[in-house]
This record gives sequence, structure tokens and C-alpha cells, in this order.
Amino acid sequence: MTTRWLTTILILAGALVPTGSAALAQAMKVDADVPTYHATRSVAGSLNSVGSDTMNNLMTLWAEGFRRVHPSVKVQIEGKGSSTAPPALISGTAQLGPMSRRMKAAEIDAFEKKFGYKPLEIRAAVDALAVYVNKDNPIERLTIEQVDAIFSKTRKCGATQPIDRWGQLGLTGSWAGKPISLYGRNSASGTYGYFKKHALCKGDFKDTVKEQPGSASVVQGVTEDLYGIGYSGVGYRTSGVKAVALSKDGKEFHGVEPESVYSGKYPLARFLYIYVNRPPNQPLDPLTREFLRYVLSRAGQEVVIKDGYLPLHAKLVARELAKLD
Amino acid sequence: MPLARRIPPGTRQPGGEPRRIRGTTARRRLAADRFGRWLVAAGGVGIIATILGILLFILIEVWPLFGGARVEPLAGVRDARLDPAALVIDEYRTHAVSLDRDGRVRIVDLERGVVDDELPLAGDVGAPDGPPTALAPVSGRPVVAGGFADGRVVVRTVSFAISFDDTGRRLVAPEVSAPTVLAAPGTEGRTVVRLAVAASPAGDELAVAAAWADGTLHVFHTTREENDFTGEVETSVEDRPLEPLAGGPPAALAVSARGERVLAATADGRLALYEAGDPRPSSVSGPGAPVTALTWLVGDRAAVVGRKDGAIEVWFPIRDRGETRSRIVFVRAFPPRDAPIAVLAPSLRNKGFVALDRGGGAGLYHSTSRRTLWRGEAGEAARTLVLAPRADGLLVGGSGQLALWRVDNPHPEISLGTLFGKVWYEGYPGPAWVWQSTGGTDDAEPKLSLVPLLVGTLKGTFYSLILAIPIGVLGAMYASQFMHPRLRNAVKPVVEIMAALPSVVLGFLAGLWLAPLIQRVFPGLLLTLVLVPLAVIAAGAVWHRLPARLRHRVPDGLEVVAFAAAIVAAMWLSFELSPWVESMVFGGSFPDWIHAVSGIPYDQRNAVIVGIAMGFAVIPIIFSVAEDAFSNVPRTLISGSLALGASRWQTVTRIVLPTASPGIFSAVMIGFGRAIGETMIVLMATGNTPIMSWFPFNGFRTLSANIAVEIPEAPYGGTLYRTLFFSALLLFALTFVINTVAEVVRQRLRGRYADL
Repeated sequence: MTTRWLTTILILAGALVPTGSAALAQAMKVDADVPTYHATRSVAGSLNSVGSDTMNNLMTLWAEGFRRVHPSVKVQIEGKGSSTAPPALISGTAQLGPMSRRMKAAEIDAFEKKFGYKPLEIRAAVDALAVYVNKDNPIERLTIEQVDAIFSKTRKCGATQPIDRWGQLGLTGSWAGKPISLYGRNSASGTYGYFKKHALCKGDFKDTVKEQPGSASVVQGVTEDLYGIGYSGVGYRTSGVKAVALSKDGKEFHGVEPESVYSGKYPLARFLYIYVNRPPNQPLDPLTREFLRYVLSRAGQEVVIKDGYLPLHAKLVARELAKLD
Repeated sequence: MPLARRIPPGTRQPGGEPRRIRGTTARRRLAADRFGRWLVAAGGVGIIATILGILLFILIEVWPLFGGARVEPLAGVRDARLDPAALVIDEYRTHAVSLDRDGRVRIVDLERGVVDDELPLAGDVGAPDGPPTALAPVSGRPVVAGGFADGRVVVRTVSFAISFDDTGRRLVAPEVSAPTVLAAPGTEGRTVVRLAVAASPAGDELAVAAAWADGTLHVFHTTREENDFTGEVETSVEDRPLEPLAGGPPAALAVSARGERVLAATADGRLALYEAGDPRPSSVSGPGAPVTALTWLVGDRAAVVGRKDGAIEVWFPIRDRGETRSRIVFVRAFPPRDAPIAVLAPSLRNKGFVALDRGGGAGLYHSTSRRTLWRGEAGEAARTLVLAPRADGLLVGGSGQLALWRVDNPHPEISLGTLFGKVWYEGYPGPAWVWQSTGGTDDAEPKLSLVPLLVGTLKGTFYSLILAIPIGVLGAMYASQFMHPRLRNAVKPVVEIMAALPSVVLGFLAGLWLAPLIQRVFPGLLLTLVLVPLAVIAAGAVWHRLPARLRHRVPDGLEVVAFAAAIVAAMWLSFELSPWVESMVFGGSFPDWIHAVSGIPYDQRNAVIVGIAMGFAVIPIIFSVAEDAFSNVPRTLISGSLALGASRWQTVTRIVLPTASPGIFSAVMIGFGRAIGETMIVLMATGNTPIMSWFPFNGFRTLSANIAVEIPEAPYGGTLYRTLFFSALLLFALTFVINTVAEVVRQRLRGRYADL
């Protein structure tokens, strides 16, 4: 439980720093066609959520909002990494499994072995994985090939030389000779897996990447380390770090602005998922269903913006809501 | 309790039986005595039993890692029409699709044992004359392909629709897609002689490599991409001609799911690797026995090659530093089989594969661990085989029959070689010790070498003990032999309270506060090593020259309070001088200087930080136990030594230190045990980087921190879960051996000084 305690500390530490995502929040609005939440029935009981650390704050905010409508519901949230969600769903210790990546086939196998059917996947929000550098770092943009050469020892995206000094990225003066200090997530994290798949082209991380137990401590590490670079969900952005613009092909660079994420031009955009256990041909447990309906409502998607992530489009919301019936 | 005086068991009164004492009080006392003895014995036995129980539990969890695979028959289908060249099976092992040599696709219900349906591969796309001239061997993916005499290639994908009936029973309905015809310009009317097909796990990408009779080679790549955000669907077909091989059409072909890597075998057993962006092969290997079977393993980064002489080999494309194209390199070989290899089929769940030879022998192998997990007979009639998508079934097809086998193969990737030896992983330039247990994808190759973790454990222990042993032992020596008793009575509890600091707090402070601080003032820290001893010597000299009247007013052993001021002043001076030293000696920046000198970059969270933080946890333990050892030296010895004219310093170094040495040794060993098992401090104050380096200014990853980091994500009973238990066993064994050696040494020392 000590790590959980730690995560709490780190989250608090992160919360004290004024968030840069507030600017983002003002600019964003939820699609007008996203339905508002009406309680179809009153529910009570307790909900447990085990899974992604990226979605920890998001789940907490959703739970708060949901409890405003259904005060007698208790929600417990634990976020140590996406890989902790499938075991919790299988053992039944959690009804909600937030994950920042899709379940792997082996995880679905294990679920199916126990229940005989596959878990239900609900897309709950949109995240852009940001590559952060210290706020005083002059670098503005990177290609995925460069990111791969910085973080990976296998360089599967195609770079011919590893990059370990800032000078290799075109920085001059006192920066040129400075070694790049790498921060990343622990392997339980969905962010780790997503980054490995999309930014390292399925390659392997360098052994010198410092693995941090949470997204907030990656950001904290880069804030404290002038020559640091790290990655985490855009919701954890603070004023101490800067998210660099990225490019797939080296021609067009895109920052983590909503337009480039929605158009699919930002290379590290992804969905955030909530997995639930729903037997085939049977209705979803009413409490879980109400919670997910809340998540997929206007209020729920406004919470997404508040936490620094991006909301779903009305079309997607409708598609996800249909999965609940 | 290493310091407890041991009372020889069964001490008896001289004269045999203990004397009976009359009276109720005595009887009660005897009963209490018996009860006490029983309680202590029960407690002792209980502790031993618990430890053995933990050991047994760990052993039970670890044991299955080293077991092989079990393969047993499950179902069979007989139908004279079947003559499979390639097979597809669904993930529930209920249905199979057989691409038969007569050019027809047959759907087989494995549970009922009948052929449900059949249709011609080419369908109604203008059926070419005659049966296919080439059929793609199994790829493990739900796709079949055939080539015809008119030069066309026909591809069909298979999907299995899942539904549930009212009773909750699962229904699987196989569906074969409409045929896709692939034709390359200039190949019309030429016979297709060799084909290979591959598909991505999601089925959105498909690649076909084809060879025609005149040696022409083409690779087709079709993609179907749906943008999740805009909902647009894009489909595209790309046709890429490849330069023909010398010596006619290839003997075998393999293609990756994206079509970016094609491997072709020449008639004289060479392997040619084609990569995207270049029609010429980027590398051709040396000759060998003719290649009879060829496939990529899952992930398309390693190829398995089967040869006519029964050899089974693994080859990697390796891209060297500074190169844009890869070479194809031989990596490892498996024990050869007696007959030519007929078919190789990859597992979709791990880096394993199955092989079938022309003599009907089958085998299950794993590339990374180099293990042969199972060998068996598939029968003379066997022509092809495929692993089920979950690698839990093996479907063998022969003329007129299909046989389904159940495969139970829980931990193929583990062997002593992968845990402790150097392993050549996919995409690496050579064999290495690597820990990187998971990836976000199914085709990631787990890298489970415990060597970097063992090195990290020893590194962390080493750097914390070189700080903790001198301070702890010398501090204890000073406190017990020189310090004023009143001061000692205050100091000892304070030091012991230090041990009560939660290690998570120490780790947190070390990682977030100490690490950036040390980076700034490390030269100052080095300076304290020089200035503090100088300050103490100087203070001693000054003290010596003070008038005796003044000196005698301070009780013996309380001078230290006066010295403390000098020490604090020296430290303050050190840190004040730090920027000056940094610019004079280290050229302005110590991290840059050490990087330039050693070639290894300075890492903010490094072994020195952990040494200091862990020192905080270990010093109190060493101090406390060592202080007891010093204090337990009989006063008579010390008095005798002093009476014979030895100075206090002589007495301490020549009499007290040797006599107390068994206890000091225990103190060090207990400190060692604490350091080796410490988790939270290293977890938080290092970056948990699994590197193999003894350099003090970079991090490491210990066995214990690794368990803490990875156990929540390890699925119960999975390979990672059991490997973590294995590392726990290793830690257990390590501390057990160290404690045993320590105890033996301590007893020896004690024997030597027992006469004093």
C-alpha cells in the first residue's frame, strides 16, 4: 500500500503546481450533441475501480460528479497501472477497469478462461501522450524517429545512430554536450506499453530510462532535471515542463492541440478505456451502467476537459452508449 | 539473537536428576517452568516451520517454470475430401478451415467431426483452369491464398463470428470472405510457383509474397485503415516488384504482415532479405542445405528456417549502427530432426513455433529460450500443422484427416539460460543480459534476465555499506569507549530512533529533495571528506593547548560537544566552497566533468544518493549492535590493560576491538541483510534502471524493488509472476547463505576470543 500512499503524495505535489492545462480547458467545449445525464433509476452500493494511473484523477473526478447525483454510492479508486486492471476484473475485486491502452490478447484470454466471454470495452476519453522536456529547454519539436533514437536501444523506427546528447538534436552552446536524462513509466503502465508500441515502433527501451511509479512523478522528474525528457498523458502537464511538437514524417509537426489530436495528425493520440464485465445477453449491472452513462454524458465529458484530456465526439459517445444496452 | 549468551541445553545439577523440592509453591514453579520450556520450544519450532512454509510456498510457485509442454489428442475428423496444404483454426478450437490441394476451401466442425461446407478458392472470379499451382503454407493467421497457372493470386480471409444463445452457450460461425484477386503487371499467363501470406493481428493489414515460374517476385500489401476520430475508412493495395534471385524461383518464401520484409530462400540454401524501399535484397546469407520451410515468428523480427537435412535455425535481420539496411544473421540452431523439415508454423502468443518433418515427427520449440518443449509423432500421413491462436491447440492435417491436439505449454520462455545467461534477443546487435519484462503488444519478446537485477542488488548494498560500516562501527566504538556515559545514554536512543524512520519517507526525500541537491553540491560533499577530518584534528590540537584548568572543567568524554562546532563549521565551509571548487577543479560542472572523464553520463538518481539514504536505514542497526558488542567486553580486561600501562587508544584497538569482533561482524552482517532486502528506498531514489554498471553516478534496479514494481501487473500464475517468485527465492537464498556464512565466521571468532 506504500506505493499508493506515494502516488497520493505525488498527485498532491502535482496539484500544487498550477496546471498549464487550464488554458486548454477554456478553449475546449463538449460536442453539443452529447446527451445530458438523467438518472434512469436511483442506485446505491459500492463501485471499485482498479487500473490505470493515467486515469486516476479522471476516475476520481467522475466518481465525485456521480456521487453528487447518487449520494449513497461509494466509489473506491486504485490506480497503479493499466496492467493491474485485468487481474482485478478477473478476480472480481473491481467492477471498473480503467485502462490507458487496449487489453492484450493474453489478458482477454485470461478473462475469457474464467467467464467464457470477452470483457466489454468502453472508450471513455481521448488522451494525447506528450513528450515533455524541462520548461527551460530550448527544444521545440522532435520527429518520432528522434524520439525513438532518444529512448530506444533497438531504434526500430529507423534512426541509424542513438541520440544521447542534446547537441545531436540541434541544440547549441552549453546544451550541446549535455547528456539527455530519460524518464519513463513503470512497465505496469499502459502509457509505457503505448509509448513502446507507437514511439519506439515496438522496440525496447534503453536500460537507462528511469522508471517512475506514476505520471506525476515523471513530470516532477523532468521539472527537477534541466536535461530531462519524459512522457506521460497530457492531463499531467504542469508549468514546469514543456510538451514538444511531434511529427511522424519529419515534415509536419503537431503540438498536443485538440485539432491535431482529433484530426489524427498528432502521432501519439489514443483512447482511454474502461473495461467492465458483462455476461452476454444480460443487462449490465445497474450501478455500473449508471456510472458509465454518467461518464458518457455531457457532465462526464466536461470532467474530461477539466482534467486536461479531450472529450469524445457525439458520434463516438452514441456508439459507446449503444454498447451499454 | 546473535548476541544472546547461549546456555548449554539440559543443564543439570551434579548427581543426575534435578532434586525434587517439596511443597505446592515448588510444584507450581516446576509446572510453570515446564510450560515455559514448552512455549519457547513451540515458538522456536513455529518460527522454523513458518520459514520452511514460506520457502515451500515459493518453491511451489516457482516449480512449474521449468516444466515442459504437454500435448494430448483432443479430437479428430476423417473425410476423404480433405488434403490440406494450409489450415486455419479459431481461437476456441471449434472450427477449422482447410485449404486443400484440389483448390477448394473446406469448413470443418471439429466438435462434431464433419466437413460443414466447401467452396472453390477462386470462387466466381472467373475460375482459372485447373487446381492452384501454388498454395501459401500456414501463417497462423486466418487467411488463405493460392496461385494459378494464369498468373493470378487469390486471397481469402476467414473470420469467426461469435454469438451466445439463450442458455449462454457460445456459438462460432466461420465465414470465408469474398476472394481478392491480386495480379502484377507482366505476370499474366505465367504460372505462380511459390506463395507466402501474412496478416496483422487485427486483420487490417495483409501481405502476400509471390514467385512466378520465370523467377519474378512481387510483394502485395493491402491495408484497411479506419480513423477512430473521423470514422473514415481507407483501403489501399500496394504492389512492389522485387529483384529476382539468381538461380530461378525461390525454394521458400516468407513475408511480414506489413510486407516490409520478405525472406526468400535460393536453391542452394542461401537466404535473401528484401526490405521496404529497395527492390534489391539488402543482404544474402552464405549457402547451406536446401531450405524446405520458412516462416517469420510473431512480430516478424525473427525467422525460422527448416532445411532438407533436418536442421532448424533461427535468423534475425540486424541493423548495425549507422546503417539503413539490415543483414540477415544466423542466431541459434535447434537439435536437428531425422527427416527434412516440411512445415514450420509460428505461435501467435509467444516466440514459439511447431515443426513437422517429412517422416511425420512433430516438435514444439521456443526461440528465445532455445527449448525443445515437446517432441512427438504426428503420423506418416501428416502434411501440415498449425497452432491455435491461443497456442493451446495443435491442428495436424493429413490426407483424409485432421487431428486436434490440446497443448498445455505455460512457460516456454523460461530456462536457466534465459534467466542467467546472455541471450540474443530480436533486434539486438548481439547476446546480452536484459530485463524488460513486458511490452504493450502481444508480439513483444519478454526479456527476463536476472543478472542485471543481481548486479543492481549488490551495487546498492555495496554503496550503502561503504558509507554505513565505517560510520556505524567507528561511531559505536567511540560511543562505548570514549563518550561520556550521560551523553551516550542520550545518543544511543536517538540513533535507534533513526532506524524507526519509514523507508518510504527516506526514499521520497532522497529521490525528490536529496538527488537534485547533491547534483548541485557534490564537490562540497567531497570537500567535507577532507575538511571535516582536518577540522577535528585542528580542534584537537587547539584543545590540547588550552590551559589545563579550563580543560579539566569539562568532564572526560564531553569534549565532543566542543568538537561538534568545528565539524559543523567545516561542513558549512565545504558547502560554501562548493561552487568555487566546482569551477576550479571540475571545470564548472561536476556532472559534465564526470561524464567527460568516465564516458558515462551523470544520472541525478544514482547509487551515491541511495548509499546516503540507505545509510540512514543501516547505520542505526550497525551502530546499535556494534555498540552492544563493545559494551559487553568485560571491564576486567580493560582495567587490566590500562593497569599494565596501555593507553586508552591501545586498549581499544588491541584488546576491545578483537574481543568484540564477533559482535561487530554480526552487526555488519545484519546491516548487510537489511541493505540487500531494502525495497522502498531504492524503488524511489533510483530510476530502477536495469543496467549492468558499477559506476557510482548512475542508477540500478534491485531484485526487491523489481518485485515491488512488477508484481501488481503480473497475472496470477503467469510467467512473469513465477519469475518474480523465482527472484524472491534467489533473494531468500542469498540472505540465507550470507547469514549462514556470517554465523559460522562469528562462531569461529568467538571460539578464538572466548578464553579472554
